[in-house]
Amino acid sequence: MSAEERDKLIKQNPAYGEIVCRCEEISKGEILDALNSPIPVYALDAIKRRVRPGMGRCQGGFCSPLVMKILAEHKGVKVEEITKANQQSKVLLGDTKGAQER
Amino acid sequence: MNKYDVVVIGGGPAGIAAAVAAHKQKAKVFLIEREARLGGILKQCIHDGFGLIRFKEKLSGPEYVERYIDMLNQTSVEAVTLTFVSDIKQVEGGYTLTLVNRNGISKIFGKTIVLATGCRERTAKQVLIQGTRPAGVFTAGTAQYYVNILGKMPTKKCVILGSGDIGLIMARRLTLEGAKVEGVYEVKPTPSGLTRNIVQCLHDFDIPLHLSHTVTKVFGEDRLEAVEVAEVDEKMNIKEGTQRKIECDALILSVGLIPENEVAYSLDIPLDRCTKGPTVDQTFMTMREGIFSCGNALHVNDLVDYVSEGGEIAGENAAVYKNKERKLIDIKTDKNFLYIVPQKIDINAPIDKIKIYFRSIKDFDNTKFIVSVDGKVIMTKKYAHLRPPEMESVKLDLSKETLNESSVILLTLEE
Repeated sequence: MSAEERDKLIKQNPAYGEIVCRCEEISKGEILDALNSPIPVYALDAIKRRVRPGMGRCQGGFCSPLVMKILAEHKGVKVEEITKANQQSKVLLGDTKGAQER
Repeated sequence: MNKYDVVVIGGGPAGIAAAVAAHKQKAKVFLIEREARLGGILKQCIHDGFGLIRFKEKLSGPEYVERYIDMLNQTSVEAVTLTFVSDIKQVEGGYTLTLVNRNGISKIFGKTIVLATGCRERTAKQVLIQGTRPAGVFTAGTAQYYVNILGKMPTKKCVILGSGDIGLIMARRLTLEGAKVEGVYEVKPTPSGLTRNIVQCLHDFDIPLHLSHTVTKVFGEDRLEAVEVAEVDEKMNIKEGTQRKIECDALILSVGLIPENEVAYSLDIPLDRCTKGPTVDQTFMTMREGIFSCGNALHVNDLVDYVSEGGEIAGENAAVYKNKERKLIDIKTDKNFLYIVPQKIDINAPIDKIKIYFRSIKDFDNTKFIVSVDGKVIMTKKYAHLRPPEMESVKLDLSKETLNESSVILLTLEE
């Protein structure tokens, strides 16, 4: 895609200009596209296979929390509901003490 | 296209210090940050101990960086967040950078660039652990993000592999949050983190540190259920019969940091094998004209105070940069050094206030650091202790020496 085409797409949908995965240069818009597709996927590995965030040199070290937040927001659930692969592969196990008090 | 004297890539402690220092030299400065807020990794470092050298105070990470953001806000530096540099091209008199953000694609011109892109964590892939790939394997920094930024627990009972500083900090942090840290396992016979962190994060919380041990296997299909640990010999081979299975729900890795230099790769900037950052001269200019490097992108620092100092060196020199010929000579070292920064001296640039950062290759007690030029000793400094995890710095004045391109500058550590 040329810079002009990409610029046009971002102007239509700014989420394409928000880079979530720096290693593979994947935007929030691309992840949302996968979630809005006919067969949406709400697991980290599934999104990784579709769009590639987490496939690069940092192996998701920086982007996996951001991807989890995007998935949770889109699905309307708490971030700990988002799993790595199937529903038993929980990534997070609930709130910290401080978060429980809030 | 907007034009700047200095474009800084990275809005963490190194980048902000570079931008402020460049602004002080009257440069027109542009600062680019990828994340939504300035501050880099300090945003999630809520523990204290930052700023002991700079401010003679024990600050938390966010407090430390807030002071620099305040300084930045008093300048005319233009800073953008949520903006990603997707391409850099060399052009007449400087570089063109292509930026991506929510407004679209744009281009800016920079006479010079300061790379302040920080570092990333070494991952599970790079330590070759056998077994399945369940949820529950985290790098320490990612676990820190979950706990300190999202307020979520990644574990109830874990094993930590590697005794790097973030791993030690997380051992304490997770313990305070009610998780059980079964132990910290370090493959080397000596710890990788700062002594103060071994004491304050492990000893004070009765968390065992197992030196010459490593994790050999991961168990669990969906979520991690156990790990196998084993003792290693001096060649780091596993001692048969020492394997032990530990039930836990997470493995946290603190196995090293790697300077983030994708931009440098794309520009074919030579990197140092030991630091994994660019090779630089005393102005922190890389081997590519007009491109400077600082902070953890240049070499992994253990104290943010040194990161800020390095940022200032790069920012100041980028601001006063004139495209004149360099005369570079190597700083040579004996085998007792793990690395030094800078690796070269430009004898056409000021040589009266050279800052040398170094790490020794192993522990030394009562050692002497010696600088010689063409065989003549010009400076010595005594150290009661030198430890590889604790970086040291010295100031070097070479203005009284007659230097030419064949001069030999040698650093030695006397045992």
